[in-house]
Amino acid sequence: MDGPNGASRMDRDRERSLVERARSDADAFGDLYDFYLPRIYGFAYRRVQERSVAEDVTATTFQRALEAVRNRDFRNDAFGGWLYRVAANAVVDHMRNGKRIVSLAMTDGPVADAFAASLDRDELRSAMSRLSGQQREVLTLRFYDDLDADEASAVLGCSRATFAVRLHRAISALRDAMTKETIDAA
Amino acid sequence: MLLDPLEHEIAQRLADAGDRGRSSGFVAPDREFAAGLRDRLVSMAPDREAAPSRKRQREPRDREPRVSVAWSLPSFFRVPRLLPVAVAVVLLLAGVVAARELYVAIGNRPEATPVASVAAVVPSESASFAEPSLDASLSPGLEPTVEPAALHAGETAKPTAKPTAKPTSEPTAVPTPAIAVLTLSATGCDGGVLLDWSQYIGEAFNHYTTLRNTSASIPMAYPPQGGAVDPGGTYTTNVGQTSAFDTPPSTGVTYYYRSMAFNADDGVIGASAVTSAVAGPVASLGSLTVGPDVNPADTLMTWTQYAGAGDCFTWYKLVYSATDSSPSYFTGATLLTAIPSQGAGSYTATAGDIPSGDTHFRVQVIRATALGLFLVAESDPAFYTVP
Repeated sequence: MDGPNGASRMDRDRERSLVERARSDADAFGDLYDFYLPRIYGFAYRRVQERSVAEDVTATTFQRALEAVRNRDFRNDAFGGWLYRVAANAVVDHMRNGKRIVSLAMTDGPVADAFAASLDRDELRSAMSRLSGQQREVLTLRFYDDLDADEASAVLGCSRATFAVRLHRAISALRDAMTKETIDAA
Repeated sequence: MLLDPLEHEIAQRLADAGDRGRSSGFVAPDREFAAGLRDRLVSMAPDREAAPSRKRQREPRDREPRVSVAWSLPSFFRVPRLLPVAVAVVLLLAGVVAARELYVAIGNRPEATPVASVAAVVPSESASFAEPSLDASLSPGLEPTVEPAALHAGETAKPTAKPTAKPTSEPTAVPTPAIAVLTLSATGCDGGVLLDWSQYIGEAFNHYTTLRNTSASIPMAYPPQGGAVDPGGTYTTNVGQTSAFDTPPSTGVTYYYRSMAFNADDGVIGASAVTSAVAGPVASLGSLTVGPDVNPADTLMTWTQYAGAGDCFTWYKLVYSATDSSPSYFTGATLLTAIPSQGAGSYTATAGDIPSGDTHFRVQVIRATALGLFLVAESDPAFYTVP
């Protein structure tokens, strides 16, 4: 599922190695930056829908990342997920400071609506609107943002297993809602 | 993840839709921005030693009393190689099969029993603790005592030595725990009051709750006191969820709010000042016009823009129903689209977006918070037969 960003995932061992080297090697951090920049920027842009704000969020995220990897205590096990988590928090912080105090659009925001709008079947779109905010959020992170389970669970602050359960439940709920849509239409 | 065939198909469609959505809506980061940020980041000279941000974070901990612990154990424990022999002898003499463990109990209250809190299992004859696990109930200002003891499992502690541990800095006595200051913004909107508070920073967080009163007095306590009430809808155990809304009993009336953070015992650990707001009734956008667009197969909807405060706006939501003559997003009407721009006043649904036939439409202004949505304004329902 490669998106417009090129290779969708970084090899986990390579990522660990780069993070380890980035503690003292600016070029290694540059490699991480080059890989994650379009992803983090896209993640932010889909939520804030404004280029300058997305740039602010992106810059904040990578500055925090640089500070973090240079800290000996940084847990170098899932850098990508950690990065998305920081970006999600930066979006919330930015929105909170701005005029539109939108809670993170991840609960039931424009990003989920935009995802729903890209669905190719009416009943699927309608069924999405019947889901809870949390279910829409899980589906959006997985399929619209194209995050893997490690990354999405980091954003949500839950375990990988919990995320898998939520994702399964969300898909099942969507199936049920779709069935109901079909029955209603008939 | 085990999916049935239909679920699998749905997952595939979601993945396809995600690919399409990312591709169509993808905006690449500006090259100048990307290069500038990269240069700025990589130019920050790597420095293994310097970690100023970490140092700042640790300052509060540095102010905690540091306790260094050192003591002498019973003499037969002093030579490690004799330890197994000594243990065996003691076990034989006592006729006890259970293994021995050494526990250290830390307590500084005069009434504290030495086994009140087990801080460590001591594997060798001496130990020092740079950062001991202190009992949270320790009373500041009193000198902690450390009492090592050799115990059988389940045995009451009988200290064999009574060394004292002295803090390296003088702790300041704090009679009651400080309550963190939260900031609360209460914004009166059409349809409700928007509540937005600052995140609690600290330990022991369990949940937030915001209380309401008709007077400016809201005691920092739970259950509510002094006429305050819990309006509901503001309780969350997620420390990052810091916005909610209230639809008070009356519009045009001043209500007062205080947001609080609680520990697991309902003790207040953070509180805002009391803030007031006045909610208005749900605003009317007037009529919604629905008809054919330039392409008659398309459906054009136009409405009056919401003129209220931008802080109270998150989206227009266009909804429709074939059966409900008063469709609403909150009662299960089908969502056509959500528009996050307050300046929008029209929308065209292309052929196929809406099923053909008699349809009721409505546009609603909705404000989203971390803990739910509330209706701010809405149009009158409109009826149109979709071609």
